[in-house]
Amino acid sequence: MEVAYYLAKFLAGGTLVVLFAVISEMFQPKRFAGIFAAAPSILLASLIVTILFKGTAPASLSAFGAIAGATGLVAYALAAIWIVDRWKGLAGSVIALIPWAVVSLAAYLVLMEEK
Amino acid sequence: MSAPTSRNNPQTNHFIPRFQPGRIKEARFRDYAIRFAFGGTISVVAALIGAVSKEPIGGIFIAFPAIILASLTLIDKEEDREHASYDAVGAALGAVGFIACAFFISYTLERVPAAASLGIGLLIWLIVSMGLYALYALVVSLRHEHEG
Repeated sequence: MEVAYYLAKFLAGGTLVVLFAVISEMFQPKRFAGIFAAAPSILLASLIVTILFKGTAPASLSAFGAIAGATGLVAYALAAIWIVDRWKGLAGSVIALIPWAVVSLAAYLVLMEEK
Repeated sequence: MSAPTSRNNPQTNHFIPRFQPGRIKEARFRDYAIRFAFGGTISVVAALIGAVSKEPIGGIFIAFPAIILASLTLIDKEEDREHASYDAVGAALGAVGFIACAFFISYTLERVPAAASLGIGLLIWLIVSMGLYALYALVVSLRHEHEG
């Protein structure tokens, strides 16, 4: 049961990420295609599997946490706009994870306070 | 084909989305395999954190920038640096749509049929992202016109 649950998470997550990557690849210009790089692919994959295995209540909680993560994602992308100009690809992408983590956690704490 | 025209005349069609399914042939299988592994791994990590903490904090990883991590790296290798930062502009707009989408789903998932909540949530992401893109294109074009 648990193994099937995590296997389903892996397959669904991988599939939707690739699906949106394919859609992104088919569009020009790059700044339009970039929208699909921030598609809620893992969110949808993850929620579908959680709903099927555990019901809507835990899925709803995950979606709530994802609001915080998405706020961090905005910070990540904004930081990446100028970070990739200064550091090479992988290094820049990793450095941009710092604002992602800080903003995600801050948004999470605010959201939990409001709840 | 259209590249030389757009280079000579950067303002024209600079922002208009073009659908080019043929581009998909240029993509390599290895790139997609990396993205698949990334997406799958992040999903499992988010689920594990959720299972251990029993709190919605696992949801943070659901929005982990896995795909931009992969795509920015890939772009940077193959094309120029400028393209990578353009990609990040779109990603920032898409991420704002993501917030709206997650908000909607978290408040409706237990109130309406799950498929409707997820479907409308995805639609909200698309509408907000595209709306912001149109606004961004308009603002940048007007500024160029003003300067030039």
